[in-house]
Amino acid sequence: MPLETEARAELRALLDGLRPDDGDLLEALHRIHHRYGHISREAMEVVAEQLRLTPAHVYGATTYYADFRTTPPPPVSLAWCSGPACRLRNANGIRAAFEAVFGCSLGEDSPDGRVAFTLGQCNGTCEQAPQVWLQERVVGKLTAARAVELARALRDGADPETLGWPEDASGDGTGT
Amino acid sequence: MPGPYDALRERADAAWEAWRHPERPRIDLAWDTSSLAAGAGRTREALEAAIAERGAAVDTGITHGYGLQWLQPLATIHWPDGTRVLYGPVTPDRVGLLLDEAAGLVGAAAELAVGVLAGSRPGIPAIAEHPFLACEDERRLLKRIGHADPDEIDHYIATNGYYALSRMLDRHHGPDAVRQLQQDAQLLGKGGAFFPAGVKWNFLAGAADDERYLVCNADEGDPGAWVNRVLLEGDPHVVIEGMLIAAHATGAIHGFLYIRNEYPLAIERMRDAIAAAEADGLLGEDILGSGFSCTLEVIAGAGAYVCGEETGLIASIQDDRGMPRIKPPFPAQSGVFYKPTNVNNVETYASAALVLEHGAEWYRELGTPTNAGTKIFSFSGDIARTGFMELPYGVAMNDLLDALGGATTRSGAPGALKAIQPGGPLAGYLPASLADSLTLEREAFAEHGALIGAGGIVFVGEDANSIELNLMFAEFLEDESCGRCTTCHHGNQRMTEVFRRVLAGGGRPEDRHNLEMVGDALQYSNCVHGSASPTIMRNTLRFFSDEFDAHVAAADVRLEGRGFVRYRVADQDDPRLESARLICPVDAIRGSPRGGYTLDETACVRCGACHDLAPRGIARDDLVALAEARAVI
Repeated sequence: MPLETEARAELRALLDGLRPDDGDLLEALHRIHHRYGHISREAMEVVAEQLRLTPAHVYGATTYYADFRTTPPPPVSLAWCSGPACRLRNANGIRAAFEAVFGCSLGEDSPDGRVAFTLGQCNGTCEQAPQVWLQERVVGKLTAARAVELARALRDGADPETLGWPEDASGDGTGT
Repeated sequence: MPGPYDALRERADAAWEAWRHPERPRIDLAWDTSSLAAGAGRTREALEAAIAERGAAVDTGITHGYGLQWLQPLATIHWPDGTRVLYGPVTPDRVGLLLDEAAGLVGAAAELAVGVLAGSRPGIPAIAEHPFLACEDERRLLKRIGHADPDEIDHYIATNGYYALSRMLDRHHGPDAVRQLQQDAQLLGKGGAFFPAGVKWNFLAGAADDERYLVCNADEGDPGAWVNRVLLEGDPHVVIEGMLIAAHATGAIHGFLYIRNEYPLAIERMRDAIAAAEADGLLGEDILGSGFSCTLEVIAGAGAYVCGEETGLIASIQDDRGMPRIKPPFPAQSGVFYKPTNVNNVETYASAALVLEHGAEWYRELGTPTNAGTKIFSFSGDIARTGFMELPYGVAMNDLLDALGGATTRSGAPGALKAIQPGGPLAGYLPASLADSLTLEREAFAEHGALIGAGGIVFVGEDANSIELNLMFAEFLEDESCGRCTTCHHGNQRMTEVFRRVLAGGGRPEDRHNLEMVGDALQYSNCVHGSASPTIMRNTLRFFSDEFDAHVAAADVRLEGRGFVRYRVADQDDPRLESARLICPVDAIRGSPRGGYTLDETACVRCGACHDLAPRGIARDDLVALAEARAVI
């Protein structure tokens, strides 16, 4: 039995009520990911103890799912929508623009550790295409030029809360 | 003697009446994933601030959006006399117009009026007359969408919700009768497989073990599909009632709703709805005092497309990696925790509730003889109007296209349609020329080697590149393969490689054969993720043969793998060239406002930002099209 540390006690408290053979692994991983932004090796060990699985099993599941990180997240998350409606509106070009400014490929963190640039899945807000999620908020109706501006602002340290808002009275979406 | 349901109904009727006839005007904002993406949160802030500032005698509430998503954020004004009118897009700067209209200034928000939902209002047509809804018949699955508050269980109960359940538990319908009724209705699974729900339920009802489970598949992963999302967010209790009916009919004691993690609002609404149903004795132990017990829980997925395959989903629920396994055993023999299990799609359970409420004949009234009933579809891509609707099976594609406002180009201007992409990455890619004969039913798509799928349909405009779309789907399928079958994980890698090479300018004459061979191997994968992987590729080689061949014919080593898209300086006199130079993320454009602009092709990443800002000064060339043009000359 590994030494009970404060960190482990906190993890265990987070998993309170979750039981073995009860379909609770995803819930356990979600709780930890929600609190810490990633699932550490130590967290996997605690989950394994709680649910009577092996750490290897928990590691296998954690890394199987796209939504779980195993390293601490950068302060900014930017997810690029990979869906078809976005692709029809130059999403590939928009991705290239972000990659060029961030200096990393899709799925990586920017070298300065500021931005996690991830692949997002279509969730059916295709009227906003092409879109990205900035800190889980949709920034839609992008162009490559707007993507470059957004990426540069993030790279230069701007607060993501101040970026990517639609212009009021833009007239977008009106019509029939 | 009034039973527990009657007491609930009495309470619900009062709450519903109060909501429908508020004491003073109320503005209900659409509160769903689509409206939030369009900025409904900021609209609400602006609205509440304006109400406070004016001291306006207006309240606020929520509904779910009505389906006309290009007009989000949508809002409904609800007057005390019960009149309700839908408006959109209600951006934060327009909330004043709505407040004026709500307060009695008739016509103040006329420019935003979409249609009348109830009652009448001068100069505004009924919502049913909106061209977007021209192909709809009766809204059955969507009957409460936009007409009620999805967070209120009372709104569900007052509109006859849980009545079918209560009658069933009052011994009006035994388990056998309920299953037979679903068979009589010809309710087919709506997740894309069209398997008869009643027959599937018979498998579980006949299972040897008494510990039986239900699974609701809400892992709606097809890009371009958000049919389940609408039900989960817009009418969560109809899903619960459908599952309870299935539980009673099959002897299941517990159900899992597995919802994809991309739908946080749906997860929240379903969890809240489950808690509300439990509090009212509609869910849990001894439901409505009948002795029947069933519990439900929501499981949030974590980003794995293949968990939409039922055995992958079951593995994911029971603490394993979500990898599909070989069938048999089928879930009815060995499912969650190796116990007999029935898996249906969200919409199938919801439809089952309607069948029990209204009867088999009513259900079959709409649709076609082989595709009974209605289906929710979501439409996106190169069309003027993005959104969802509920259609009887059998609607003609051309009528649908009219309702969607016609096809558009990449820039959104009116244009010609190139292709129809139904049902996600496994289902198909059909040419626009088939639109004249295509109808929304299973057989019409199957005839052309495609599947209609689970309800998402993406329209592809004339200036899209079919090979690029094939690469996109191949990459998706490669990424999302669980890795169990070599045919699938390696086959999809191979398909991706070939499309990537063809698109980069390195196509080879044998590549068509290469792809066909990969398709032959893929179809022997264990689950549908692998076996249906080649569908879009096969459709493309068949219907877009020329486009594929043109890419192979245009192959040229001098392209050095950079592909066929080129940006170049086309007009030195465009004053916007300087901003194009500044926006380039890789400094590939040189020159100055005095002139002499050049674009370094080897540095260019082809993002198109320069072309966005200076469409005249920077040209975007498609070398395949140019090569074809030369060949014609």
